[in-house]
Amino acid sequence: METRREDVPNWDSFNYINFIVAVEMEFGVKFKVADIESFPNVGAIVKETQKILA
Amino acid sequence: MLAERTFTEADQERFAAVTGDRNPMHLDPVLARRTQAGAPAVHGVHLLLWGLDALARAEPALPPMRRLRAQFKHFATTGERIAVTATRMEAGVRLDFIAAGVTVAQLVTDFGAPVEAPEPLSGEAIPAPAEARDLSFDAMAAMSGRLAFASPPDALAAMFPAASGWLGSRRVAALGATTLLVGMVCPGLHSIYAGLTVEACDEPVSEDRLSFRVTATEPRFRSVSMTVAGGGLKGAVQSYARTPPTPQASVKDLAGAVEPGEFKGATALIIGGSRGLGEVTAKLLAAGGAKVAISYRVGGADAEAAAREIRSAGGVCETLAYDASLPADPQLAGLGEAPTHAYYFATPTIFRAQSALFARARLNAFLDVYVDGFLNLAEALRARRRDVSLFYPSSVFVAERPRGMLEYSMAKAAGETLCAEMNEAWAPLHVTVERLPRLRTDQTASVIGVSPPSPAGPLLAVVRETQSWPRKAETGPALAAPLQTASAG
Repeated sequence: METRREDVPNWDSFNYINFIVAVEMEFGVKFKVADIESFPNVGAIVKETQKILA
Repeated sequence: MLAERTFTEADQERFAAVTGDRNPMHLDPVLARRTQAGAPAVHGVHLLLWGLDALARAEPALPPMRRLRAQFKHFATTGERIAVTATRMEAGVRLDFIAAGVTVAQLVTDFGAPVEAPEPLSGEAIPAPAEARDLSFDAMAAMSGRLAFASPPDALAAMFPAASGWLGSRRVAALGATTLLVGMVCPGLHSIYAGLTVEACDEPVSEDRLSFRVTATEPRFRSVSMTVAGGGLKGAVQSYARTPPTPQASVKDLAGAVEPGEFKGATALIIGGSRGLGEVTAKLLAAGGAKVAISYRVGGADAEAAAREIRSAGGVCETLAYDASLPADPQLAGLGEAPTHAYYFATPTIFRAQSALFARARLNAFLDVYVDGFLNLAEALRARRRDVSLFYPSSVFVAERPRGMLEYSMAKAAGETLCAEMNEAWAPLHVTVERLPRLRTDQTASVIGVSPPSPAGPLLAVVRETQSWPRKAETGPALAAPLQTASAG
């Protein structure tokens, strides 16, 4: 949950977009661009997903 | 390792001529420097076909390919050494393309018999375009058609004979047609080819065309997904519509922020003034009445365009070619008069993926420009005018040190130290140093639709501080400027 983009070797913006798209498809949610830009770690993505689904 | 090579401009030209993908990001060093690649990018499909050819040469008895998935993760540029490695997998082979320790592309082939043939190709016949189309993002959603191969299949097969022997020349040609599609048709001019997944199939009717249809667009990421079929392949292509080169504010837009005549009497030299932060600085100065000279290394046309705009708004502007890695003095010989002020925005490509924590060669490349180049310029200007006022753009990254930016941060820190020394040893010459945040330029463009803030505001503060030197009477700390100066940095 604390994992940040910086912690993943070879991570890049395309990987990040693919990851976000996969999460959106899996959970049927759609994040705002500003949130996508600023998610600091995996935990923040989980939290936002839960917030949208609530 | 399966193979290793460096792609040259001649290689790019040859591949572009056969596939028809003449997108300038692959061929034009001046335009390519305004893309996220920063330099001519090797076509992703060129990497892919080179790797498949090397694989087929190394293993002549490969089983038939059933499926191929490729991801183009980072730009590979001309002049870079690129290695391809092969890893056997349960049902196929994985190829990794590596530059400077980073996997720039990855390809997985699965072996097996061809899958069921698709329906015959349909849609409007589209000839291979001579120039890349410049579509709006909205227009891309409705794109479909049957795109003609740019050359007969045998032409590309001749470049990759082993791959053609394994896959068939028509499939090799169809792979080539996918780069024609992405680079020239949709998304076209401002495109990034992100990847493809295709399956081998029989062709209902042999036709030298690739049928395509856009299946999804996502404006948040500017992504464009397409289905493709033709030449014995069917599958999907993933691409992005790059944001076009970042336009900066016009002189007219900036004039409102500057007092009329605020910088009158000054003659300012802007190194790297043809685009980005240098361009905005030049326009701000000119809007305030300064005579400006903007330098360019390769972007002469960009510099002339900026100069024309300044002149048409009533300003005075000249242009000169200047390479920060060469001695400054002879390059400044053509200047009309000795600059009272100079702004130094020369920079190599800043963002580039690398796997190592620290790369000495990369640090050296930054030091050449951020330290040696600046020192060289300051010496030459000081010889003309002892109280010249200079601006050195440092970066918040010196303190923040984001991942992958170590060498950049180190070189900027070294530049700050040099400036502090100059201010002590070479007064009345003065260097203003400011740690700039990430601002909107070609180099900071992102595929996600949020861009950094406009540089106009932060740069106006920088210009006002730099233009306030030389100061007639120093009154000690009470005169402390709102911006950080080198001795304080």
